[in-house]
Amino acid sequence: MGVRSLATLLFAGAALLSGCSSSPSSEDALAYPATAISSLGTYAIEATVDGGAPIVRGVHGVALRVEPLVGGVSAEGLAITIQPWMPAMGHGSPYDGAVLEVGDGDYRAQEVSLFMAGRWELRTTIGPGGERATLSFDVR
Amino acid sequence: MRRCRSTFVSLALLCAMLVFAPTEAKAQACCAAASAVTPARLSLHERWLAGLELRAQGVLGAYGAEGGFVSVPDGASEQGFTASLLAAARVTRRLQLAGVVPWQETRRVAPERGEVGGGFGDVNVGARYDFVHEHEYRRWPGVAVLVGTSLPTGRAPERAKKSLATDATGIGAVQMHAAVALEKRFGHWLVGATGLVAQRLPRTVDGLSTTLGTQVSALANVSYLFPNLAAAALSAAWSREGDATIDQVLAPNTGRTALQLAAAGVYPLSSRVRLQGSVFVTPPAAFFGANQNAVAGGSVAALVAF
Repeated sequence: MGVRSLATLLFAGAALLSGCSSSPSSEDALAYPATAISSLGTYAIEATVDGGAPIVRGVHGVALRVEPLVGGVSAEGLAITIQPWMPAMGHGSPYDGAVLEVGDGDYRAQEVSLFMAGRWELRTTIGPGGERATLSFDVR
Repeated sequence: MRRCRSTFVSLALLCAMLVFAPTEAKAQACCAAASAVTPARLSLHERWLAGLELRAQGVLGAYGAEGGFVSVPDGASEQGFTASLLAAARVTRRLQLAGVVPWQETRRVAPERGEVGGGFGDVNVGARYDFVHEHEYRRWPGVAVLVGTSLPTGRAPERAKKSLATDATGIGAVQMHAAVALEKRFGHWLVGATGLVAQRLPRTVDGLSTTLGTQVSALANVSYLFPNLAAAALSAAWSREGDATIDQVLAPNTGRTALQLAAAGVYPLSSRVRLQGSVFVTPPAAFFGANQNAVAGGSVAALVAF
């Protein structure tokens, strides 16, 4: 019996007695796919992680879908950067790769490390004005 | 006899404090709790101390922002191993200084990928001033103030080179702690309580400024002292951290909570050499934590004191 199994057995009784759930409460969960409006309201961004929800810790590709919200603005040819970030831990994860344009408002980030369970953010800058958007995911 | 009793008590206190000590900070660099205030503790008659501690732990799961618990998913796992050099020196009868230099290794497996990485972690230094020693007055408990700091000598997760960040060994920020510790002996039993406040200084990563919330911790411990100067202790440590501030804006639901239960023991091999060990667990069930990993593990250490 491993350490994990032993500890789980020890505390399973306590959890049952206290009526605790072993899964997150409904208000805990974030909507998926993650969506955000950029800081000046120029773009709507939707992010989906390869494999879909629930997102399991690991290294994933992330697809970004950009929709312009202002007339005359294109979703193509945008410079986009991302910084994966865990706000509760005060740290990010290593990512220095480019966000590549797929076309027609679709972009893709490769090898995004979401190495730890918990809430992650993709702190994103987009467009010529460097507008900011934050896309949040729960990782388990 | 006085020396014997002092050693007796100090071994038990050392046992308890090392349980509380660097568990989180060493094993999970990004989740460093503010508990490395007394990395090693000298008995009253000792002038200096050096030792090696080996610590291993496994991740059982994670608590969500509102306390929900999720076990580690199938195909994923994480273990941490830390070897730490401990040292302490007495400056005066009431003042002692201590430090820890950790080396960390992490094995992290995610579905479809796994890796091992490590390196030197964040160095902890601390000072303890005993205003009242436990045995000094008959009715008074021992009263001590502790201050410490954790220096960002390890590698922060966003500076990691490996894809699963197993070579991250530090939090990337200076951490300051202050604590008040009380202790009182009742026959063979020793009871202690410690209250601690910790604050991490702001840090900036890629233009993103972050300050983690102030952390408040409480430790209660009870130890039994054996005639051969061995001791056994049980302890419970609870900590709560406020929400983080990101780019000058308070980020809701980012505060962290943790409860850790531990059992520890100290066994003196001689008047100068002692062994100590502990097992610890963060209860892997809902509402025992928030925004944290749940872990279980153990440690062994050998200390030489003069």
